[in-house]
Amino acid sequence: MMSIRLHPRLSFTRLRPGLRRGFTLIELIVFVGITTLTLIVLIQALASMLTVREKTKLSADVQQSVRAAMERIGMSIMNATSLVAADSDILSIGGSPGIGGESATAAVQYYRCGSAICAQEEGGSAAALTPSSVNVSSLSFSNLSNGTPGTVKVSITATDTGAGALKPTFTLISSFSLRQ
Amino acid sequence: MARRPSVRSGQSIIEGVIAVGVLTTLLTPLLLLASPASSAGLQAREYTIGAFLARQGLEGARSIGRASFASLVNSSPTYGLAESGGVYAFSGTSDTPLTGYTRTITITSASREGSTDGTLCDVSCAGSPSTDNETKKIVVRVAWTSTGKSRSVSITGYLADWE
Repeated sequence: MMSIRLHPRLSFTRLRPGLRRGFTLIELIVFVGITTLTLIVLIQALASMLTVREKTKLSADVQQSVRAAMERIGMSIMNATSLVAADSDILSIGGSPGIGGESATAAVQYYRCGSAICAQEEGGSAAALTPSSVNVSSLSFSNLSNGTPGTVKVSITATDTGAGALKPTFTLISSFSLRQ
Repeated sequence: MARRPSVRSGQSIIEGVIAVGVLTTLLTPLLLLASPASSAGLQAREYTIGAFLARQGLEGARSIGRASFASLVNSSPTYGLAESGGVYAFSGTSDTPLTGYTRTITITSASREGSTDGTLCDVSCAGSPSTDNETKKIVVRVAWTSTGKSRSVSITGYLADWE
């Protein structure tokens, strides 16, 4: 096996009687180089993992909020007695009298209030359906009723309001019909 | 009395490289865990979008059928969904409700066990099933491609002509 022999001045440890040779300068440079490269790769992978983790978390938050709002609106539509109005940015539906043991529900309106989706029952005050960490950039309703009962198309687009550069956007589109 | 320098051997470069290698080998699986977690999050997002689009397709088809049951003609092979004149309508063989998502609607007459008053049988029907032309089976399939793989979600509903 070929070995590199350096001038004694280049060696960290001079060979003295009874002592074994330590690292040479070349060995140390090679070792530090390999270690540095390995650490760079590991740190980059770790940074990438943390970025993906943060993005996944933000995305999941937006997804859950939008999905919950969509399901709430959908349930209201299906349980409503009538479709009062489904303009582009506001949905107004009649309540349910509570037939067949179900609880009666009041008439309700859904609309975008600031950066949230708000629900306001008849005689009540508006309540946000989405958290402040989610910015609802678009909420639209289309009345696509083809006769009765009514069918409404609902579209929601939202973005996470996190302070970082990662702002995942999530769009959900669906339709719901009055059950009666 | 003079102390004799202790005689200790240093680490060789090979030992150092092996140590770094072992460290890397131990840390790499931890880092690789991030990939499946991210992939699972992405898939959940796509399936949520797909499921709601399929729901929209089913409600659209039902809306068309409620307005005119005769409009639910058995598809050959599929329909797309469109908005026309403020109502849902069938158009073409598929539609793209969102970029990357393709939706198809299949309409067939429902099968019932025994007579046309028998129980609806979807996958397997006992005996000789009857075809009930007054009940339509609506299958909505939404398909998309994710990380090079084709994925889809389907939902099935029925609509009967009560009139």
